Amino acid sequence: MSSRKRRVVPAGGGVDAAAGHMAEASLLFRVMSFIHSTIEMDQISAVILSCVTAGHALGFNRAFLFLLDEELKVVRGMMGIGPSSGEEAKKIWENMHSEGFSLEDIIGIARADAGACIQTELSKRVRSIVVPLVNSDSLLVRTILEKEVFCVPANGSPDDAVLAEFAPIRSEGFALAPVVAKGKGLGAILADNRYTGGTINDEQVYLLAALASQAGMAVENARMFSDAKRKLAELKTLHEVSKSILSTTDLGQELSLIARISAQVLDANGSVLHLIEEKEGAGENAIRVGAAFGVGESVLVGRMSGLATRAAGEAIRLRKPLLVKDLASDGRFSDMGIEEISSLLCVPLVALNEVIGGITVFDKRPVPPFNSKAFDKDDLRFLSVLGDQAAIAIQNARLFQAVRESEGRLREAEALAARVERLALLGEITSNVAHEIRNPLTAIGGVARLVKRNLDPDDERAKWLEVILRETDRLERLLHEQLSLAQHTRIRCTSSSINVLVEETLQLVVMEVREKRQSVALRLAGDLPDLMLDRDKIKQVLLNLLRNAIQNTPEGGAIRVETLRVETGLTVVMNNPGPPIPKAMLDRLFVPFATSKPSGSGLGLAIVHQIVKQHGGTIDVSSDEESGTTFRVTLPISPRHE
Amino acid sequence: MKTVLVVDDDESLRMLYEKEFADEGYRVVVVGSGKEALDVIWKEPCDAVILDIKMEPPDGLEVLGQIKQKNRDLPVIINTAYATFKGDFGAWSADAYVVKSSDLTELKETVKRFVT
Repeated sequence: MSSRKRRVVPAGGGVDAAAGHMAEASLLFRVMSFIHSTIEMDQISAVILSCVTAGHALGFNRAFLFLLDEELKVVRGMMGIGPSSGEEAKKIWENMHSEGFSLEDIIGIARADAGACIQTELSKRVRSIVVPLVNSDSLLVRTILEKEVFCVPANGSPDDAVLAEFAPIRSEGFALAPVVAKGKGLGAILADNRYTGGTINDEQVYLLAALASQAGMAVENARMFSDAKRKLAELKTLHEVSKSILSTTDLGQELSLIARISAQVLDANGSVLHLIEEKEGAGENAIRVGAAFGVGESVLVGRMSGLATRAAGEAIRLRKPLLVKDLASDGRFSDMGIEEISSLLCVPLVALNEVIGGITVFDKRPVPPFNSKAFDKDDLRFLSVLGDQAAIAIQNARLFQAVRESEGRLREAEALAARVERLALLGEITSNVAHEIRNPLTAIGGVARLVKRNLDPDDERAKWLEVILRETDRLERLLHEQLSLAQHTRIRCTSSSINVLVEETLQLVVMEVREKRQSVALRLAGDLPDLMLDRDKIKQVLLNLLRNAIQNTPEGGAIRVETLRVETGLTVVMNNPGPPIPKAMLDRLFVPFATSKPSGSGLGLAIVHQIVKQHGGTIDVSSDEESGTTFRVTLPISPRHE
Repeated sequence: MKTVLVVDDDESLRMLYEKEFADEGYRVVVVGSGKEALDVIWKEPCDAVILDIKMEPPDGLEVLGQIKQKNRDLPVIINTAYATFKGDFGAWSADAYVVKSSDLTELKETVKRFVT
């Protein structure tokens, strides 16, 4: 091993020595004030390295800065300053000499050019140097961990194992000093004389070491500053994101928004949002997909379809975030053999201490220098905060939805109440009007009959009087029907089996069914109790509904009649295929005269409704394209008759 | 000859009933209100009363009550456009309840039943 550890001690005493020390101290002082004049990491690096290479200062040919990455546990190169070839070196020095730049000038240029310094060929090459901390033979690692200075003289053997890690910058003889802050090694500065090939003397090494150790403070500050800046940016983003998340109360939109924002804010390729299934009968912790964004959408199908569920399920079950940096090597997911996704991060969504779901993001956008798609702890922290906000917003949206639904139901109930009231009022009005009509009708018809009776048998006028009589008869019949609706005729109940009544009613329509080549599928429950029913009236109800079904079913269609037990009593279901009844009509089906059919008085269903009500039951109807029209009559076991 | 008292506030119907029952062979007395009915009823011999209900007070039910109080055996036949009074206590003391129709057959036969 040709490296040796050398403790460097300043040269001995004497006035010359003292003056030398003074010069050194003053130099150091000037350099330090430059370094502390800025807080940006890149600028600090540029200033430090320029000081190392400036002829007025330490005068090395080239200088490189290495820093320790705590999270990844590696040492990596950050920046390099110096010429990239001998010719360039000569040109630069000639230039500097003729221009007569002072140290301040050089530092100023370096600081202004910091951004460019990162992009030079030299910097790119040094950034390719990455050494894991576990590599205890590495000089870089030792410099930092042991906080020792190393000096490696150039001895013309570039194959030396020790030099291997510096191959990208082709450094053969150099000094390596640790950058230390608060007693902890943060990085290292490597300086060499590649072009001039001069030996590195003790004084230079000493100055380098002093500079490096002072620089530690500045680097530490710069890191803290950039951390603080990043956190501030995160806070601002979080604020914007919260505002945006709370911008909608529509649940569907909310979920899509959260999925999209999570992916965008973390710079991920995609995301999936899961919610815990709330429906009855779903297993404990059963989850469903609420929204997906970007690559999240393709993750849900095909081979990868179990991935999101597994990840979310895990995070939800443990109530903790799940960070998988590499899917292929993580024991929980390696069995899935997924190559398209390499990293995921999932956090549970918790609102008011209750887990309601999870948000999973996939594959961060690759960022140099490592081009890794993996998420890190900062991402986890950020997504957790975002998740908490999202959970609250989701619960908000759900509440809104519940309120809207209640409002909807309330309105439905109000409409129903209004309809009932209208019917009652209608009943009253028609009752009065009908009765008032009776008198004149009786007079008209009665007088016509009288006159007709007193005519000669062959008198032609008899035929005209008959017209009057026919029409008055018709009116009287209408009145009769009308008034039997408006009346509260009492129903007479006996204990009856609804199945028997259904079958009896079916007998009455056999011919009509056959004529239209229809069929009736009958499903009568076996466990129905007998109810107190007015048999004739109930048969009237069934007949009416059946006739309705037959009329509205196309030829050859199948009508379905079913009786079944329900909690309050029993239900008779009558379903027929055919064109659906428009929604506007459905609401008014049971109102007298509302139906549009030319035949029939339009009273049938209104009478049906009244009879059902008199039995303390309910009737409702639904109608759509797929299932046709379905009437449901429910009769209670213990009714309160009207 | 039997006498029939017809009580109805509708003039056309009064005309009709008067003619029809006269044709049936009855002596017909027609009045147009409950008050007139109560004035007339005990002054004339009367074998049956045909009574409308919906009238200005005293209405048919009131008149019915008063008649039945004085003479339970005098047949009173309610003849009304309304079927609802069938369920009304006040109408139960009537001897018959006919719903008005342009076909007077039912009314005529009911009267015949009580008068003979």
